[in-house]
Amino acid sequence: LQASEGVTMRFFLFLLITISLNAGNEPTQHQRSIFVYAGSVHEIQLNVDGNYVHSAQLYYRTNQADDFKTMKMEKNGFDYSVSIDIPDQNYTKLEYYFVYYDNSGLPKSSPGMNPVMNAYKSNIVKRQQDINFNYEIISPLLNETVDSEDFMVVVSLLDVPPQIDIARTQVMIDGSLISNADISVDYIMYVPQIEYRNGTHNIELNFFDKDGELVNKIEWSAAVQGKPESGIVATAYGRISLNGLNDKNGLSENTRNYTNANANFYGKLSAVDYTARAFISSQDDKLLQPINRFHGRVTYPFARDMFVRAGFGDVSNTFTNQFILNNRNIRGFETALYLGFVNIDFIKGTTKKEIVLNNIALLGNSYERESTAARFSFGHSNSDFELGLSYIKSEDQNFANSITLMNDDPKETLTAGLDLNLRLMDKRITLSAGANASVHQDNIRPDPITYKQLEDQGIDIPESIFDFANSLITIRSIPSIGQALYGSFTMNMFSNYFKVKYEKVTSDFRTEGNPFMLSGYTLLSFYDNVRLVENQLFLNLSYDSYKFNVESDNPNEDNRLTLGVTYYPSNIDYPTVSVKYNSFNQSLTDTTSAALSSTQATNMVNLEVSKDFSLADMMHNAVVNFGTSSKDAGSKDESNLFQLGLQSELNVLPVVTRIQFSSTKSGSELNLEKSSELSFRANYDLKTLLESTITRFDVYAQFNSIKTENTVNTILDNSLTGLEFGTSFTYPFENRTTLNSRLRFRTNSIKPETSSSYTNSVFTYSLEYRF
Amino acid sequence: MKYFLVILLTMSILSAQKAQFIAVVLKAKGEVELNSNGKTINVKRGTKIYNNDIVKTKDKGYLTLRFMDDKSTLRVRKNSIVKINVSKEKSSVSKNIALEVGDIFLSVVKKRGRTRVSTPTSVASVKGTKFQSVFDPNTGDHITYTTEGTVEVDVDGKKVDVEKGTIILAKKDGTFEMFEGSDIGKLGLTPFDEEEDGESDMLEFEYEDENGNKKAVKIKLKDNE
Repeated sequence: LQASEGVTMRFFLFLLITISLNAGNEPTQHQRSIFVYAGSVHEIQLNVDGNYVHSAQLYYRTNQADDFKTMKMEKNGFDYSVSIDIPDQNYTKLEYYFVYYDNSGLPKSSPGMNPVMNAYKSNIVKRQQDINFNYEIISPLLNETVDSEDFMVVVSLLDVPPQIDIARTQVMIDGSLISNADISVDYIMYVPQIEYRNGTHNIELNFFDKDGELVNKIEWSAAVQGKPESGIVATAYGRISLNGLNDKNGLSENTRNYTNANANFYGKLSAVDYTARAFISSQDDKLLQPINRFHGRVTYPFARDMFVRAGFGDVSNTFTNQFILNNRNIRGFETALYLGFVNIDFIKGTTKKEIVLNNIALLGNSYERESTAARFSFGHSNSDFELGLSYIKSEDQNFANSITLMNDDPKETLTAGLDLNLRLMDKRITLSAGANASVHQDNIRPDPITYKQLEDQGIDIPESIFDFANSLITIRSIPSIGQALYGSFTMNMFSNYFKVKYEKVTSDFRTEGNPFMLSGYTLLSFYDNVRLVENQLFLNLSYDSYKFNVESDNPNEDNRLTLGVTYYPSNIDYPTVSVKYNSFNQSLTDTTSAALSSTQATNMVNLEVSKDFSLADMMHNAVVNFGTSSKDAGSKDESNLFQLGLQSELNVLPVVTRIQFSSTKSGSELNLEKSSELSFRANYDLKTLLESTITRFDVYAQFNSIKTENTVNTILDNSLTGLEFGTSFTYPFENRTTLNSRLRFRTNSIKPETSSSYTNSVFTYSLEYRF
Repeated sequence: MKYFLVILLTMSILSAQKAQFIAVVLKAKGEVELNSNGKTINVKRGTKIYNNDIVKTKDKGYLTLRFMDDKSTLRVRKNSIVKINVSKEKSSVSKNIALEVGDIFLSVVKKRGRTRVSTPTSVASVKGTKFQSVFDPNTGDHITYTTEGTVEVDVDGKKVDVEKGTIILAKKDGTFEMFEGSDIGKLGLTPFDEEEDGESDMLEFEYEDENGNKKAVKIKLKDNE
């Protein structure tokens, strides 16, 4: 019940800006942007105070109806960052959360509690200043497969308006800036002197106006297919990077320094494609979980969509069925055989976990979890039909020393699942369904039980079934069996995106998928997004019905309804306006006392206005957001939110400034929490000083002030003042060879209300050479 | 002084008429030449084709080019000579592909203007999307085989619609014959296929079956360049 109360409270406060400044309690901090621009590349950063985090992943989605996508974050100093593409249109909200692994190998999340439901949110703001023109993609065509020797980029520009400064146009392939493209007002052409590797490549053309502002983007992808070569042909591409940090913690007065080196290579050796990566850090400690990571893989393609693959090292695959395996570092061996329609993946290895130390005498002890995973599929993730059978078995090993230390018993889990995906009418209609089951032994210390012992316990199953079960998982006690079922139907046509989804995950379900996947629930959700008036008016309706503790006789229920209307006017004189109404009803059942059972209803209204305007000879974009919510359960809890964002482009200098202010007030008169945040950031684009159209060079400065007050518990009161400076420099050589560098210095002064203040500072650097 | 001004003015006008970049070479195999503004250059991937350029493929030559205005694709087989002319007509663009000799295949993706393949014998105008054109200057035979849509062929003033899957053989004397697509072998024609871009060399044999019909066998040689 307490947990459900927590969920309720969190949802009630969902409008609170989760600045996530949990001073001293959590090792991570995240400062979210209250708004991001549609069609932009948005960098998300997870700041880590100290060396507490081994690896981090971002889970995000821009469509409430979709599942969260996952991306590995890149380590930069102690911090982690990743860049994501914000869709150009049709979406209004970015939701995301982080999953990271601490030194003991335990997964944690940010937000810390129930991150799926309490994900960070940023509003996606569409700007009306895009300058459109006609063009034709000549080569490669969208989703075309071309021979590697024929790969080149040609786009015909048909009526480029004079506002566009064509000389600033950037050509990017797979994120690398191309320095020697042939660019004119009629066409853009790049004929590579190198051979691009097999697989899909993303091509991006960025157009800028005379002020250097991005005003249009053409983006598409195509595949390259190699041909059998005669003789030995060797190619090598990749990147080498170095980054490091100097960190001073004012509270503990500790200073830390370290350096990381990272190398990624890929290319061709005759007809074989290879990839190799290594991450080496001065932080690696043999007594702890490994930080150094390495991986090598070779692939031999013998026909279109057909290949054989083998790899070793730290394998981190994700199966199409994410309920089974999702992006975990398994040190061992992988292999795959793809025959077009029939495909097999296999992974075997271990994840090493150090023992949480509470006894210095046992320093350095660790235990391993051995995992074997396989997937047998008909079709693959890009085909119209895909049927897959996935399996993973994980068993803790060498756990003799962990008896008292882990405060936890060694376990063995077997999870298997069947998934079906149909993608029809050019993927406009998709149908997904899956059924997974796990068998979990919560403690594998006891000896295996015999069939006779089972009979003595009064369990009557045929001996053949017992033997079969024992061949899959060693039976030492009655195992718990969990299930995860899901199904969804999506239709994206007639200017309408419609999705209906059902999920059921029992509380006993165990897997190596997302460690923060909810369990013990059922969900039925509907989502419909209709685009009207030539994509100017969006109507959004969603309804989620959750049941938690589904195994109990009286499960708790959450029902959420959202109605939204967003207007993106084609006339730039009008503002973009978005109005949303949320209704959240929850029934909490207390099995011990009917009096403690309750139902609660929360209603929320949110208004957002975004407008581009010119003032004092400068271009501005302003976003104002106001939200209010109230709960009708007699607690008189209310929550109010006000947010203001202003981005300004100076005319005299290539400087863009951004101010964000947010204020939240939440709770009742007896327990009121107030929080306010002000941040100011200025970016100075120095590339014009270098008289180069392709070199990137910018500096920035950022100021933050965050204040939190609580009327009841003053120990929670604190204020933070932060200052950050940084610079980044990109110098492209020929073709895709690029040198990137980045420096950043941040200082945070923290003043808790009930203790003395202190200052943390961190300096990070990174240098990267792409070739 | 007067002559000097005339020369200067003429030069200015000529220089102002910047050659129009109309198509780009996606693939060139074997020996392929381009006659552009009186100069002959060897063609390779990325070579720009300007208005009124003439393309010549030699014995083992093969070429694929794509037009910049509407991404129509032209494929040219060995021993062919093609002159390409594009003219703007208001908002549309007209293309005239003069086939002097050889075997070409044209695939029109978006129909934004008139597209014609002309020979001294007949003119094929695109109504549909994909067709093959073969011209033999020795006999004057112009064969048009429509594989998608419809092509209107003008033979000595007579306009004939050649539907998908049919072939027209236009003769020098202004007469013509219609054939089914299945008769392609009888006419000594080898249809283009999508994978042909990947092969530069093909061996073709003709033989007679037990009924005395001539048939063609095409063997694709593995590219070993």
